[in-house]
Amino acid sequence: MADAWWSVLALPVMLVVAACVAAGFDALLGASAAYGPAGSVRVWGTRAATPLREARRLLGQPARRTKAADTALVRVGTALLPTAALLAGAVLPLGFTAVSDPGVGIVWFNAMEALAWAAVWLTGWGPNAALSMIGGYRFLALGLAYELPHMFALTTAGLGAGSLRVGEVVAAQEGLWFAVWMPVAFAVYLLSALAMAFWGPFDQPVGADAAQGAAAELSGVDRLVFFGGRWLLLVVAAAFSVPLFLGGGHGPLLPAWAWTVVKTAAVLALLIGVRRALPTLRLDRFMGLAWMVLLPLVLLQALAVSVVVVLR
Amino acid sequence: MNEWERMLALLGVGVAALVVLHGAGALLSRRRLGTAEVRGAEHAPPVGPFTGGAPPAAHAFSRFHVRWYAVAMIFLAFDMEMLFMYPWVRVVAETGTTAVVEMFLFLGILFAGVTYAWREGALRWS
Amino acid sequence: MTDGGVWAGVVSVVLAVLAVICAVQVFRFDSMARATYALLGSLLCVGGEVLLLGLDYLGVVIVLMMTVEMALMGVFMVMFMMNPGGLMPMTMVHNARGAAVISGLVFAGLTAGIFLVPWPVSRTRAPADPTHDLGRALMGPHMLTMMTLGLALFAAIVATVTLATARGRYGPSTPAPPHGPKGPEHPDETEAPERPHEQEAAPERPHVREDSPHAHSREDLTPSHGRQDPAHPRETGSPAHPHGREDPS
Repeated sequence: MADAWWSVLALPVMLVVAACVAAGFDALLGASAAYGPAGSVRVWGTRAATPLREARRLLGQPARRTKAADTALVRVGTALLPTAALLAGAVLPLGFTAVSDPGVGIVWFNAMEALAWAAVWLTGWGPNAALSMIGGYRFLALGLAYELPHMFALTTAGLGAGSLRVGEVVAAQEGLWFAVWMPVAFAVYLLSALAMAFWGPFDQPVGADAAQGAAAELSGVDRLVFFGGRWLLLVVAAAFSVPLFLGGGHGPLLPAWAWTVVKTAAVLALLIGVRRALPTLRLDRFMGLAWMVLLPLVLLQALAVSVVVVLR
Repeated sequence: MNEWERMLALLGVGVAALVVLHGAGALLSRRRLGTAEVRGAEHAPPVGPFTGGAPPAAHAFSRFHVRWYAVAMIFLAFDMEMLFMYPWVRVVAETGTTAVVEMFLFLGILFAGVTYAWREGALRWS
Repeated sequence: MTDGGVWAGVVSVVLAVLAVICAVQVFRFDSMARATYALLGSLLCVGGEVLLLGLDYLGVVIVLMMTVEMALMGVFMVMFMMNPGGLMPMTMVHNARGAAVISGLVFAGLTAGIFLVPWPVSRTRAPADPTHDLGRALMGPHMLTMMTLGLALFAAIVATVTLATARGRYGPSTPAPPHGPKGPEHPDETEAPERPHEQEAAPERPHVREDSPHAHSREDLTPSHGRQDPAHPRETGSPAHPHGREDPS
């Protein structure tokens, strides 16, 4: 397991492919909601390839700069988003090997995912534009709300296994998935996965009400990297729920890697579907909800799990 | 390679991919500009920010008053707690009841503070 | 990375140089955003150095905590500094000559210390899992440290709320006298019978919206005696946002 050095090269490719498939799925959902179901395979394919065409268009788009912009910070901010997602993905047990499985893997995931705070704020600040800056600040407000429940959800999964190593968390779920006996932590994790990718009900940082907020002034490769990074973050956040709560590669008949793919796809489809089912949540509303409802709930969940762990 | 060297290698791969992407973008956009009527547009002057048509009256780079500064302070205090929680996870099973009581007493104290903040309306800002 | 190969040495030197460069840039940048994130860059390099020392948990948690804290510190820098965008030159260095002398002396002293102090040789082996040992220490001999910190954090939260929240019970309850010192007495000395009631209700009023979850609050109970909204002068005239821009999020 430790010798698969090529996983360093394979992981980025796998994550990008997964992000393209997820974006294609989202585009299909969006197109069939707008124009009705696809009449033929060709239409279906055209619709599914929309994100790829968009990526190609952005790649060749000449950059557009705003006055007195801090272009360097925009570059750093946009680049940080996919980088954070990629590094967070390093601890994913892909079913056959993880790029790296350090003893503090859960803390590592948390630290890398927190880099999105810096990434989105810098992206919003850099262009010297009011709407874009509003988007950046919104992400920090969102972070203040989601981060603590998120950390406790991560900790609860580690608590169930008595370890912060992702591989050991998976091994501890051979009999029973953590999602079964810590459902609150699982639900809170899914919510925070939506929030960390500012997706679905938490899309205020790039909200339509602020002309795409943090991304309002992005063009060309910067825009491609920013939104690509967001997709990567969503994929990694969804994929990490599998080793934490859904038993990783454990399952009957299929090999571990296949179960990992199936479970990740299911969670990702759920997260993508949620966007069309739920309206955008105003952040000032979510703040109270997160601190006074989600936080106590997940703390009680952690208490219950720790009692089980002590009695076991 | 040990576990952290792999992280470093992964970081290298990611950065290299981003550099390639930006390079390809620069090449493609230059080619596109070369064939378009607007030659020399890569030296186009910067535009004003999008303001929905209104002229931008001031730079956005200025003091920005966030209403959630109190939440930010409370968050920072509560966040310190995670410093203890992660190592605690490793030893709950072997330390037993003491560990659970200590940690949840600690969390209880902090949450009492949060409840006070909520009662005072510090978690609302609009 | 305790095996101490050549690579570990190279990475260590590179991180150290990067950390120092970023730290110097903190004082050279005009923009508060750049200064804050240069500081974050420096701290991330320090986290990397701690990882190199074999302290996995400490290194990663430095990265985690510092990212979140610098992101928030940037917000406060932008709120408080005069010219956060760096559109005009500014300097974060004061008393440059004195500071240079002091820091030169400190640097010389620390460097001399490195070479003069006889370094102790550890008789115990490095623990296999420092994270585990840290947890053991916190649950055992250092329990008092943790509980004291818990109370300190509680005090910090309460103090923050008391000092910084305008709408709580300690917020401004009566408007500043509009016509100089001849106005009503200082609010804290008033003995009006309805005062506690007013005090609670008043700061709520400007924030209540039709769609707010708290819209049912004491709004209806507030006596409408045509008083100026107490929180308003504070909200629109605050020196923290001279351009009248507010966070609409």
